[in-house]
Amino acid sequence: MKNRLLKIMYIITTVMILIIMTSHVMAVSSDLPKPTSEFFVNDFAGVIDSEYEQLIQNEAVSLYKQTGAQIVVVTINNLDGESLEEYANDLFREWGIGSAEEDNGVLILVSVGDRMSRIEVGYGLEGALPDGKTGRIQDNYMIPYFRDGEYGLGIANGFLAIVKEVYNEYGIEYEPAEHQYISDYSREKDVDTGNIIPVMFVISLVIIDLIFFRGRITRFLLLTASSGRRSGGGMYRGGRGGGGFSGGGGSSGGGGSSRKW
Amino acid sequence: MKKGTIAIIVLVAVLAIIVFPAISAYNNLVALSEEVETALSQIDNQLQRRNDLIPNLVETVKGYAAHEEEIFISIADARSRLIGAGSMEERAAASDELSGALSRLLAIAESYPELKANENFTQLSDELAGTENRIARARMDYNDAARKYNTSIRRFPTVIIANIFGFERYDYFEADESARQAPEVKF
Repeated sequence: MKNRLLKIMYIITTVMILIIMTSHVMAVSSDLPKPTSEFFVNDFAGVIDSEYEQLIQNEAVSLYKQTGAQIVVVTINNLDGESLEEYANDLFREWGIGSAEEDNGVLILVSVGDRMSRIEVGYGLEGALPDGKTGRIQDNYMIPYFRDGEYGLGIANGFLAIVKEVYNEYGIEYEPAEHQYISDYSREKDVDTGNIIPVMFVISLVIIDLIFFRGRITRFLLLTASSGRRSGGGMYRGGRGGGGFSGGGGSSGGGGSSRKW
Repeated sequence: MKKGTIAIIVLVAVLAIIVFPAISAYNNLVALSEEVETALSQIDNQLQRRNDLIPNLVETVKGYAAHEEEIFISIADARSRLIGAGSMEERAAASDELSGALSRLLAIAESYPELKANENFTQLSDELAGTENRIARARMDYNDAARKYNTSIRRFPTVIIANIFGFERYDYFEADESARQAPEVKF
């Protein structure tokens, strides 16, 4: 009697467990890439010079340590027909950029083959980076360089502009070194003649450098400037290979803007 | 003594097999429907946000292209249709219609270089594009949440709990195919 009851109970329990288990199985599959161990720079398209990569990584880590905000750069070869907005948002959520509590993440996505870029902003930073501003950052700091094929420069430039806005949001004074903060293209366009001469001078020096030294001097200056201003930040310098950063579960509702060039 | 043991075993079995799963199924349904409601309010927020953007955008475009009246009228029509829409399906259709009218509004900038170069216009079109994207996202999130919930209330054994406590299905925020056709444009 007791034995039979136990047997029946056993069967019923097994069936229940099976039902519950099968009803909870959810296929989770995605074609999205996994983040690199650096997490903040993911140059899947291979268009960012290592100097810029290092600069972005260092700045992103230092911003993250101070504010908890995460700015992630991703380049891809192409979207394979997917929409830029959807891809950016899926990637943002999959990687969980920013913290889950504050949703303070930003994704800079560049699809080189499609000639498209997008800045996707997490809920928590929509105030600091409204759509219009992200559009302006791309127009003024990124796209002009992309048109010349200078992806690393354009990305680093736009990235730093965003870093500045985020520091601002957290009430932290951020004064990037003169040469590091590369330039605002729009300001170059309509500076008055008083400023045009030094600007032209610098530009011609850069051009001469590009022609005769393949830009080595410019890169060297940028690099020294970037490592020079980070005193005491050496702790995190070993980012390459052993970064070990990851997303904090942040989400985005599709804020930001897209550009084509 | 022996009878007492059996009674306890039966009681435990009943609790384990029926009551506890029922409680957890009920709580699960409550949590799921809460998710659907949150996602729905997100759509409302974004629709409102877009609605707030429209007057500024229309004014800016009017400054350069005042005679493109047809487009302004179709935006106004779509807006009032969205406000008057009752069912989820009607709202989705009206929202799509408004999206279409607004994208035509942005497209006319191609024929007005001065408008296109206007910084205010660039900013407003970014805000609009961002909001349209947020609406699309919010719709997807809502439909996903609703699908998850709707599947849940039809699935055995949750379906029993759903029926007992009257959990009802949510409509999807999707326009009917026939309503999705572009509205007639009269000249």
